[in-house]
Amino acid sequence: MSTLTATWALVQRDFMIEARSKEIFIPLGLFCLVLLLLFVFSLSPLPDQSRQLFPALYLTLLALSGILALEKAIERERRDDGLYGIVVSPVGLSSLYLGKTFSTLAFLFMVGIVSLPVFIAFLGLSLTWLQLLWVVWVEMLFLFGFSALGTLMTLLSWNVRARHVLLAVLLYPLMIPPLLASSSLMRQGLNGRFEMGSGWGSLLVGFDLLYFGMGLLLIEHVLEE
Amino acid sequence: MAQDTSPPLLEAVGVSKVLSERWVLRSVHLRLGQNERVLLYGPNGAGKTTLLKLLCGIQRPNSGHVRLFGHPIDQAPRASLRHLGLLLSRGFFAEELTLEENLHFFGKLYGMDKQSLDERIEGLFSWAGLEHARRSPVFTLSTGQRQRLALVRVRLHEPRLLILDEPFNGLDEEALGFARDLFVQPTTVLFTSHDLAFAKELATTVLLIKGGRIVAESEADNPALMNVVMEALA
Amino acid sequence: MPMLDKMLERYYASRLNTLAVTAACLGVLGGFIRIFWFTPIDSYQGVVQKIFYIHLPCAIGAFTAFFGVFVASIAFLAVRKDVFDDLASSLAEVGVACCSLVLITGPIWAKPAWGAYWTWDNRLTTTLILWVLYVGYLLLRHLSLESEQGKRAAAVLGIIAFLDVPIVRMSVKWWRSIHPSVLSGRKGAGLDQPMAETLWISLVTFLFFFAVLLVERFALARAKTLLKKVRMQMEVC
Repeated sequence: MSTLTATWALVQRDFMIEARSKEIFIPLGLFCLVLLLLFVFSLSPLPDQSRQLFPALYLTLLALSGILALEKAIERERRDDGLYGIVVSPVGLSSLYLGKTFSTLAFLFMVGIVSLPVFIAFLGLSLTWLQLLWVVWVEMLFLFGFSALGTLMTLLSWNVRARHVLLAVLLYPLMIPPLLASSSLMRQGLNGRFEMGSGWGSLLVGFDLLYFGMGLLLIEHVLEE
Repeated sequence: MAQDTSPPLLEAVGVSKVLSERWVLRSVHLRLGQNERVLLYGPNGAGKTTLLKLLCGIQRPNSGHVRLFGHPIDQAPRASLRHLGLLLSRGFFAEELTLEENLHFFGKLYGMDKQSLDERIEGLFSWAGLEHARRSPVFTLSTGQRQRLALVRVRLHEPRLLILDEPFNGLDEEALGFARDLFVQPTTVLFTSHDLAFAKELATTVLLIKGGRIVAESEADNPALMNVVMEALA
Repeated sequence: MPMLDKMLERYYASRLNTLAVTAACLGVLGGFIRIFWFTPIDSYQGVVQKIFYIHLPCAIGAFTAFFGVFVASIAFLAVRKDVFDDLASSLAEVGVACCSLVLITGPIWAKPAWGAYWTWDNRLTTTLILWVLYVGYLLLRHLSLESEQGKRAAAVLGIIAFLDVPIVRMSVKWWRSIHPSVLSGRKGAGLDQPMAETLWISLVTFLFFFAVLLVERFALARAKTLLKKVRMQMEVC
């Protein structure tokens, strides 16, 4: 049983569960929308400001709602002790980490794609196709780092009291660099500059790879009881 | 336990475990050879479930060591785990998925190919009397049905070694009947049960555990078993 | 590690610790006296510049402590000996204390010098994020009730948090920067001879103080762990 097949089996199952329960996708999308409304009302940005605000707002709201997706993804495995079932199976623990990271990434990415037109409409932006693609690309890199680090942190804080608050307190400060990097990249894209070679691009990719690697390396210590 | 020269499938040597500053297990020795069926019997809170978790690697002991299929458990190749079947108090299922979907998932984890998996599931469903519910989501099942399904999951990949925590919980008369099948086949079983009278029929050996220690051991067909139990657990 | 515990035991039995604590306190006091009475006042910034002699040792102390948490965490995950967990928790506490001092002294200095208590400058922002991370680390330790799993979780976080430091620093640097770099330039912010001496004196005295503090904290953590072990052993007998 290769790691990849096992990962695929886990991701597939997460999609099936989501297709039945719809407990991540719809609530998250709505939450994102509600937050957007709050921000638009409270900031009431002028048209030229909203273009500057968009990247930060978009990514922050995804990160805020993303924590719910992280918790749901792990809660599913905990509810009937499903985690034990995977831990004692011949599948490596890295598959569990990979599976959870990729399914969270996929859910968040879809929420991001679906809410993107809403953001564009509410903030009155006009984007070219290239800019749109750029936004989606940077968003994916951001969410990959978020899911990779977030999955590890969610598992890590699971058996701790007050874990919901703790997860947010631990995860968000760590996410500041990729947030700065990806919102800068997006802003550059909105101003017509599309380059990953700049410092921000390598910082974002470096962050993603570093924490993805750390997750794979440290997951066994986190899963052991 | 019966003397056996073949290497044990499962072995614990001087295993101790501390949980929230309490000794849950204290230097427990245990040896499970081919085709032995060992019942772990003791009062609530004696450390039975913790011992089972240590033996399958979910938890690590604070001291002592566990060997599974001849390997130290933390170095055992993952592939060797395909010969282990584990049942704990919960079933490890995804509530929203149907019985079939859940079992397919576990089949995939154990690297079973589609064809043989389908046949195996078919057979086990009729064994456990769950055919009619195969397409219902797990959350619609009753406690007893869930336990039946968990037994199906344990047998799915034909493990050589079964570790079962309270396998008869919530089972009705009919289910108790087929649950015996887990024990008559040539498999090695370590299980717990609070129903001594029923469980001793299925075991070859009874280990009595109390306060985190194995306090006595007896052949299951020992006519004085009840006395041993009374004495050890008093 | 019984040898380490033996050394600690001897350190306390011989009353060496009293000596060390007294020396550390006197050292800090002496440092203050030197700073306030025997060091010339900075001609541009005035009296407020003196805070820098405290600020810098604290910053170095904090950073060293967090690096120590990183190393101790790796060691703990590798060999699973409680001594490394005790070391990590002590280092983190001392580090957070130092880091808090940095964050308190910084704005006091910044208000007259820059005209604002807080600017979103590179080092300030990095320090703030660092502080939040390690307070979170202590919180995790506190909330996990010293369980085995909690110790491992803390170790993983200790590694992850430290790896984030250079990334945070780089990202904030590109974001914006106005912090003066004191030690990097040959002449730096222009410290003349007596001022440079004071800086070295306060560095030595403060770092010695933090080191003694760390030893005290670590000995306490060790004592707690050993006591727990003894209690557990008695229960067995």
